Parts: sequence; structure tokens; C-alpha cells
Amino acid sequence: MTTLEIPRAVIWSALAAVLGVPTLAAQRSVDIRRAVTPTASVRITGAFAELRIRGWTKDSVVITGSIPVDARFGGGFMSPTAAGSPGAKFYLETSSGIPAGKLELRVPVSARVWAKSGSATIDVEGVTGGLDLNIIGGSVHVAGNPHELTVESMDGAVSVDGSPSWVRLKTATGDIVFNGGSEDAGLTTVSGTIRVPAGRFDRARIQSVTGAVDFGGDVARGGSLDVDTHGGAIDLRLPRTIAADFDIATVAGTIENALTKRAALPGREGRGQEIGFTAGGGGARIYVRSFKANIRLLAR
Amino acid sequence: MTRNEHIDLERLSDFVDDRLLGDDRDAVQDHLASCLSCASHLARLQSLLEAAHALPDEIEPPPAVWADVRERLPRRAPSRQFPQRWLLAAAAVVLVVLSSTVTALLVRRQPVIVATKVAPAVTVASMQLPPPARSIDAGYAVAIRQLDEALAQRRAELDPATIAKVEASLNVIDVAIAEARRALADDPANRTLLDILAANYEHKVELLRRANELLPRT
Repeated sequence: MTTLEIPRAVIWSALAAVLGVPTLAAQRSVDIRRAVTPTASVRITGAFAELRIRGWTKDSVVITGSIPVDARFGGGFMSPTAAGSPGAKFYLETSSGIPAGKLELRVPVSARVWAKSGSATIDVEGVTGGLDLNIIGGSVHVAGNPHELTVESMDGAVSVDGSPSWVRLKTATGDIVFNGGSEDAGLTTVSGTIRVPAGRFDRARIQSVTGAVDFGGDVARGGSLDVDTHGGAIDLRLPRTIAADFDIATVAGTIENALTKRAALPGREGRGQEIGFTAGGGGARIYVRSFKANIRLLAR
Repeated sequence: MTRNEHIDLERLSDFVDDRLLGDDRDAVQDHLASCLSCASHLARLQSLLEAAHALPDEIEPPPAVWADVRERLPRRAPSRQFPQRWLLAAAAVVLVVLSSTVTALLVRRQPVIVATKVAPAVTVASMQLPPPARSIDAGYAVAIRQLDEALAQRRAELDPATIAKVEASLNVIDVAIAEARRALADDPANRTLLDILAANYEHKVELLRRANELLPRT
């Protein structure tokens, strides 16, 4: 009686297929390099799952990484000038439409980068030009001080460690953490949380529908902080020495003031609460509005 | 002008109202010519103002509707106009029991995937709102309708999971809008409520815009 010998690899493959264990898809590498101008515009879009963007002090763009073997990676550079190409566009299409592949994009520090994907992890460091990043899910993390920064996501988390001059962070349900200041900041969410642990702001506007807001930054003299939520709780952790004019109201919530001795007053028709006062001789303007959230002014 | 120097709303309003002169006006005009964001704000502001101007202070129902209402009113016996409160309560209990029983049976039989939809808050008719709130309603209505229609056309090319995320967030915003409108009907002169209503509409327009710009499934 002969024994049928089945190779071990076949057994494992069959088991993997039966159990639904994903096998590693074949990958191919990407390696594209080109001289560009210091302020080149680079666009990358499509189904990448991971994208690392790094600013470097060389006037060239380098894209490296691995993508599924059946994926289509296209695009190219704009016609070069004497100083190099002024820009490039790339796209990645996977056969399933599911984001896959890991890419690293190196750009001149002053470049402008525009990246858009479905569900992806985007990690940026060292770009001082402009960044416009757009995802549905996943996460975006930016470290450094880009001149302009826009991040939009649906449920992807967004975190920034740095001080962009101009910044707009927008999510639907994703949480936002902005650890750094800005001359002009706009942070918006529907139901994610917005946390600003630190940073100095000339002008900041924070808006949420139901997400909680926790602001622990500083507002420049002559600057402004506007916060409005429909139902998201608001905590402002401010230095006791702050010089600002406060105008705060909640239609159906409460206000707790631990920053000064002034107590909040009942709002219109006895509903909700409001408070207005000047601290430290005034200077900055702090304007807070909510429909039904509780608002806390805390000293730090 | 750089992006750091976007035109603030106050200046944009002055521009629309023709209150800016000379260099000020030229600077705004130059910026609008090159800044899509400010140009879009200007268009929305103009659309809001046009809608507000076009809005009548009171709306008379068409004569045919009144005639129809008058004709029906006397025929109804006063005692039958509304069911008695106990009858409503009993009906509600029956409905709850019936719905719970059906749900329990379904759950016992098989795992059920429930598409949760937030129940909309009680809506308030536009007529019950103060004129500024009606202006806000009208100002955003066109943009929301257009973006809604555009999204409906793109629906097939977007991932259903993405559509579900967008709809869940739209529900959150719609509930907030309904709450603010209801509060305004009770407290028409409350400016904070007007601000909150406008902010909620802004959230909706912004979310719809972003949904329309999402990448399609490949």
C-alpha cells in the first residue's frame, strides 16, 4: 500500500484558504528619482495604504516602496526647467480597489505636497512648504512646521506636532490632536474630539457638533479664540495670567469658572448660563458658544 | 495676497454691501480673482443675501388650500378630531410590545445587522421660526440640495462603508439642526441660537462638500 505524500506547503496553503487567512500578495518595488525645483508641487493619489512623506534638503523627489504586483503606479514629472521639474503627479490603482502598498516620498523641504487616499496611514515629517492631506479612514500624523497645512478625514484620526502658520484640520468622527500653535488655525469635527494640549495661537477657531473640545494653548495678545459646539463639552485650560476679554454662553448647559472669581449668570429666560469679563487688562478675545454643552474655564 | 490673508467675513460683507472704497476694494477684488476659497465664500454670502431678500415676511396659503380646509373643518365632529390620550397611550404600548416581540423573534432566529439611523428630532416648520432663522434656512437650502443631489449621483461609485460613515455624521448634524430650530421657535430673539444654527448648517455643507470630493472605488 503506497502512502500519498502531500507537500507541507500545500497543506498550509489549503489550511490558510479554508481558514480565510490572508496570504502575502506578491509585491514589486517602486523607485523613482528626479531633480525638482525647491518649491515643487507633488501630488500623489490613489489606493496606497501607507505613505511616509519626508522633507529633505535636496532638490529632488524620490519615491520608493512596495506595491502589489498587479497594481498600477502611474504619473510622472512636469517638463523640467533648468532648475529641475516644477512638479509631479502620481497615482496608485490596485486591482481590488483596496488600499495596499507602502510608499515613502522624499521632497524638498519647501515643496507643496498633496496626498489623497481612501483608508491610509500618512506620516509626514520635515516639510516646511505646504501640505494638503485627505483620507477617509486610517490616520494622519504631521510633525514639523509646514507653512500651510490642510488635513481632511472622515473617521481617520489626525494629529499634528508642530506650528504651521496656517492650518485647517477637519474630520467627521476622527479625533484631532493639535500640539502646537499657529497664526491662523481652524479645527473642525462633527463628533470626534478636539484636543489642543499646548501652543500659541494668534487666531484659532474650533468647531464641533457633538465632539468634546479641550483647549490648553495660549492666545496671543490681540489674538482671538472662537469655540463653538452644539453638544460637545468645552474645557479651556488657560494660564491664570492671561490677558483677554471673555464672552461665553451656553443655551442649555452650565459654565464653571475656575479662572477668576466671577460666577456665571443665568442665561436668557433662565435657561443656560453666560459670563463675560476681562482678565489681566484684556487684549485677546475669547468667544465661546454652545447649545447644550457644559463649559469649564480652568486655570493651569 | 497670500493664503494667510484670506478676507474675513466682515470685510467680505462690506464688499458685498459696496462699502469698501479705492485701494481696499481693489485689494479685495484682486484677492477674489485668485483665491477659490474666498470666491466661494463670496458666492455663498451673495446667495444667502439674495435668498433673504426674496423671502416674504409672511406666506399666505394658496386660496385653494384654504377652501379645502374650510370645507373639511365643519364636517369633523369635535370629539373625533383627536383620539383621547388613553387611546394614544394604549396604541403606543401595543406598538412597543409588537415591535419588541418581532425584534426578539428575529434576533433569536439569526444574527441581524441593524443599520442604525438616528431618529430625527421633532422638526419645526419654517413658519414657526423667526425671520433671521428662516433666512439661515433658506441661505443654506440651495447649497445643501445641490450637494445632496451631486452625492446621490456619485453614490454608486463610493464604498458603501464610506457612504454609511457620511450618513451617520449627517444624521448627527441633522439632529443638531432640528434641536436648534426647535429652540429658536421657543426663543426667537436668541442670537446664540442663530449662531449655533448657522454653524450646524456650515458643518453640513462642509461634510457634503467633502463627501463629494472623496476618491471613488477603483
